[in-house]
Amino acid sequence: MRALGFVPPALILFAWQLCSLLPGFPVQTFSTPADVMSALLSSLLDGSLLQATGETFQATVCGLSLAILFGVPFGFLVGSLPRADRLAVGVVEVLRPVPAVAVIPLALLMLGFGSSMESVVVAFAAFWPVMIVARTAARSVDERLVEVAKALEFSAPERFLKFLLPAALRQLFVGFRLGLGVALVVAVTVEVAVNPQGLGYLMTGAQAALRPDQVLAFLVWVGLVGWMANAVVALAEVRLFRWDVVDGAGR
Amino acid sequence: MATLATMSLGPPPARVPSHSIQLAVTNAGLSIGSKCILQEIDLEVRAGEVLCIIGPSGSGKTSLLRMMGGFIRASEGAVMAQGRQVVAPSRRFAFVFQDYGRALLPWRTVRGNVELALEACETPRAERKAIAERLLYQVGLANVADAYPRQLSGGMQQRVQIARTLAQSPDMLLMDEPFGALDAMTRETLQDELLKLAAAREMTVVFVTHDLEEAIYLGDRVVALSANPGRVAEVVDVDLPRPRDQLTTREDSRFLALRHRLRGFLTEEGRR
Amino acid sequence: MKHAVFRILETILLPAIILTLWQFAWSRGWLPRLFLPAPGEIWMSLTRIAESGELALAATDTALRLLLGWVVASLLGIALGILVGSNRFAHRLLNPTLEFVRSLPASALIPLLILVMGLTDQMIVVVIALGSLWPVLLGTIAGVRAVDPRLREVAAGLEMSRARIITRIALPAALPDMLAGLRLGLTLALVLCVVAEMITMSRGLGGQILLASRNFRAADLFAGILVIGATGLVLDICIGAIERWCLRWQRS
Repeated sequence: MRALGFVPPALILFAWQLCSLLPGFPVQTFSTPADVMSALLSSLLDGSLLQATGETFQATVCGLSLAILFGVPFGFLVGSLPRADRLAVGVVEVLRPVPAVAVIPLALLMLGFGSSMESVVVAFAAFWPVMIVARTAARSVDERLVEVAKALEFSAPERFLKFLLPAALRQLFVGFRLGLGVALVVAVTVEVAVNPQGLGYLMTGAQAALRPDQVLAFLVWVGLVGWMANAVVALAEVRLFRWDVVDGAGR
Repeated sequence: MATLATMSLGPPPARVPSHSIQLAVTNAGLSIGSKCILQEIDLEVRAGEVLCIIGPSGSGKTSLLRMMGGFIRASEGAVMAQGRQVVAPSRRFAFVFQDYGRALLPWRTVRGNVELALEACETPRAERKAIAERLLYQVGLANVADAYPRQLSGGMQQRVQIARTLAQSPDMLLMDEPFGALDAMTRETLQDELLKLAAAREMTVVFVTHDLEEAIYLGDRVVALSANPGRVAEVVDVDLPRPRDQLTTREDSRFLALRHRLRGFLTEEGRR
Repeated sequence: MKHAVFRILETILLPAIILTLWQFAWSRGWLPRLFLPAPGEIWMSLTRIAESGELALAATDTALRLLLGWVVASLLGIALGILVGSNRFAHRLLNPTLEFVRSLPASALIPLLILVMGLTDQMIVVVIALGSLWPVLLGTIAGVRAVDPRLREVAAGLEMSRARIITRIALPAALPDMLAGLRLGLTLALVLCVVAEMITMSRGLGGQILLASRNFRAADLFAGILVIGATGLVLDICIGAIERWCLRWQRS
């Protein structure tokens, strides 16, 4: 029955290819499935697509790492100390509604074009989900565990390492998964908007060169890459947290 | 008329002389996969009676009730009502679910929940509010008509569900352990209210419960099911006078005798 | 009362310290003035563009596009969502496709849409609509599918018609998921609007901040970012209020 899901895309492709044979079909803007397929294959073979994918991934990973580096400690801090939470809320509430893309011009002004600027924007975007999940994780650590830790007279750093971190790891991974989704989308967005590198730039280049077959091919590729990244992380989640029965396998 | 009849001491058949059958289960069986849940069930529900079904867990009493309500089809045999086979739920047989919390629309007020049944019955819009309020008054919820279900206690929520089923003016109430999740005091109050409503409306009630005393207290007849697979083990007439009373009825020697008889059956036979 | 005042003071304490230090460091020349203007400068820029009417113009431009795209997407998403969510065959047929398209960043559609529609205002609206469609659509599908089976039985017991089941049971039951989708969609709409405006260098806020950045007008850039953030905040507060009103029955 799963095969049923392949019917609509197959039908669309078939109809599209059929329409493209009609006279007067605007091939210049819509291309044909066959052309899209060959464009995808040729840019895969000449390495340009893989190189661009690498660039996008590099910025994604750098940005996400920055987000985790700052987001997790910050989230833990405000999650475990109510006073810090109250102090931080003012700054957080000012910055959080700012869409990450609005930071693009500022990052551009500070760092110029390139992967560092892209990483900063990605980090700004991915910081919020990571931080919020870390904060929730720190808040929801079982109070009994905290009492056990205190009764055993562990120092604060030990309490963090031995109790808070392991208990929170499961939730942190959810934050990581959310963050990755955001990071990849924002990286492509920055490239589409301004940054001359990666998959997004490849697409705008193809658009400027009036190559609809390439634009569509790259679009399909971006979708595939995003889908696969998500699938890999979901799989890792199942593997890593087999003991956990609460949240299941990435939905 | 029904109230007068129930005052007499005769057993239930006497008060409904015509013996008219509301619902008949004939030689019905139910299996899910290879597992046999119910087997060779023969049962008649007489008009105007309160028929209680008891049985140990696993005896398929809820399945039997759902079959009578048309929510599931019998694998063998049939459920007949007025000469026609019951194949789908009907407004004429109102089902009262045990989990009132899930059976009420949480986004509608108490009155809105009662009005849902009126909407389904195509009651004119102008009349709905008055009818709903009258029904809520009857179940003692007039003062919370504008509250949402989740703001009410369990007993009150179950009253809302009963009011909703009354709104569809059914011939029969099918109740699936409706008071099972309530505390003892609330349960007793609702039992008495149910008996009053049923008598006043001359309504037929099929009441599934795992509480033996509840079954005897409410019922004109008690059907005991045995488990694995569920079969009718015994049908007992309850010849206790009506109206019944939580204290005197439960102290009646006939009540105790019935309790004794059925309890022994429930614990010994039911296990097999 | 005293407690509330203390709370407010606590909240603005950190921002106030940061702003003071920032202004101080700036006046000492410790900060790169090229891209970090003083808070005072940003404030002056804000009041200037507010008085000149530039701000109102750019903000209404952005807000109109955003709301148009979002409303279209929401109506479409809810209608389609009911259709797919309430029909098991349609769900099996379309779900895999929807799952795939969902993982596509909406901004990646921009080059394609430019190719088809050119650098037009309509293109921006279509980008917004296509991007904010998914959360609403998927939320509605999930919500309709998750209707408690017990409620379906209640509806069956009342012999309710299909249309009535949808309007009386499925839609209200799906409301929480639907509203969450609408909210996420609105956030996405703002993001896509800003991006599309940057690419088309339109008169809206997105185009204006990119222009400010290219011309090294850092104070205007910061002012623009603040206005975009405020827009996001106002939209979120509005839809949050709607959400709370619609879901008031959830409070027990």
